[in-house]
Amino acid sequence: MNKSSIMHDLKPERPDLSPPLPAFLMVLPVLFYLSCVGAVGLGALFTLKTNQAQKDEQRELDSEQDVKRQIMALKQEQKIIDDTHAKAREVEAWMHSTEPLMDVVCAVINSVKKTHTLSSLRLSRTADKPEHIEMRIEINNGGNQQKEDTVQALVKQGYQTFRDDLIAPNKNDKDGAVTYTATLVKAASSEE
Amino acid sequence: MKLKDIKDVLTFRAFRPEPDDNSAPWSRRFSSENTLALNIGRRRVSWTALDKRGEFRDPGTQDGDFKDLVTQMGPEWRNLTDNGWCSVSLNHRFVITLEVNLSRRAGLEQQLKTNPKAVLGAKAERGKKYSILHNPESNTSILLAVEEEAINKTVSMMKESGLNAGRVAVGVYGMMLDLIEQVAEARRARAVSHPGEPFGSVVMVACNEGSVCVLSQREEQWTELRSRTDLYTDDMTPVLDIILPLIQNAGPGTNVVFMNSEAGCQLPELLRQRIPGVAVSDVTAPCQLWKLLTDS
Repeated sequence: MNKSSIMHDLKPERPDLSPPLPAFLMVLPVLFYLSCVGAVGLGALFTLKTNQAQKDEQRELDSEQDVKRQIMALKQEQKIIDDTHAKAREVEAWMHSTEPLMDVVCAVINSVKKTHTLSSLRLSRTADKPEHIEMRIEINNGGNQQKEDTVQALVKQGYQTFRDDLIAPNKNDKDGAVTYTATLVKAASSEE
Repeated sequence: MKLKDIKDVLTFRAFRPEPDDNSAPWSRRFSSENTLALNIGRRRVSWTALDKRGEFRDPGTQDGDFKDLVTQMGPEWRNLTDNGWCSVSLNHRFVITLEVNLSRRAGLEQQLKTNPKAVLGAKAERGKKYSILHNPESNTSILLAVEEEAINKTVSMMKESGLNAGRVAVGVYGMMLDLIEQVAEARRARAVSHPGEPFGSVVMVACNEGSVCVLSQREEQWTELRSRTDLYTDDMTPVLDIILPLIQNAGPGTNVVFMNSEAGCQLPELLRQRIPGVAVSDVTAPCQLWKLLTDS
């Protein structure tokens, strides 16, 4: 006789009593709770990873901005360097372009006597006729004689003058100031 | 499928027997659940809560009619439980008798619940519920008859107060059945240790807050049974008047085995004073009735 038979039950019996579910079906609620725990765990993990990814993304964006700023600074430096380089190239080009005129300059300066002064020397060329050198010199004293000496010196250097003009403010003063303009052309023989 | 079914599966309730499934022990039906044990007498109700750890706590007793007490104490009793489930001991409106030559066909116990007349014949009365225990070694049986109206009224009054009856039993009958089992075990043990020696006579006494059931056994035979309800309150003298004739009828050297609903009863001492030399064994455990009611 067990205790449940000792403690009889006299209460009205319920006809729709159902037996307990088999124990192996406990796996269902267990799986349910495990899946709940898993979902919560995964949710937390995903949240953490999302936050981490957002922080990483923000850090990368900040890095990108830094790099962009560095690139801008480098570009500005590059522009300054390029500008400087361009100016240097211009100077170089000017130096190369003025090199053929150095003979003219030397001939003109050397032709001026010590007692005379040369106040202005201007040489120019045009792109249309680069072989023509437009010259303008202003001599303070020496007058026409000094102009002739200068022309002779240029001829010696192989230049010929044409379309020349002499302007003397005081025509009575042979040793006075004169302004001489001429177009210089390199003689063909001298070029050889 | 109802929402409750899903909830029962998720709380693992569906894997335990239903609360009012009397084929399952109380502890399996209400594992990890606070329940209440009630002992309902005609003029007194006592109770104790059984907590989730299987320990009894918050015992109480109150004099009065259950109909009034359940209205007054219902909310407090309800608070002692999780879902209002109670194991009830009815301590009045029952009769325990000793019957002879009752049928012992297979399945009669189940039939006794649905159609007692088929089992008991002319002894069956309308409006009564029965429980029976046969003596396996003789043709005698102990028959418990309880008024069905008392059971139904008790259950419905409890329901009105939010309490559910998971079991309705008669405490003193259960205690007597426990005594019979203990004595039978003692007989078996003695038959092994002292083969061929007679066991002698035993008078089993079960007391539960005013109710008494006394059974006299000579060797394997149940010879006499007396049962009373509302026999005593604090003074146990009326119980002696019931027991003494049975002890005298049983002859000299009779062992008296006593069980009370709670430990500390004065009756064994009174018996020893009244019949010097009588062997009285008090087998009452602490919270005896509550343990029986809740299979603890």
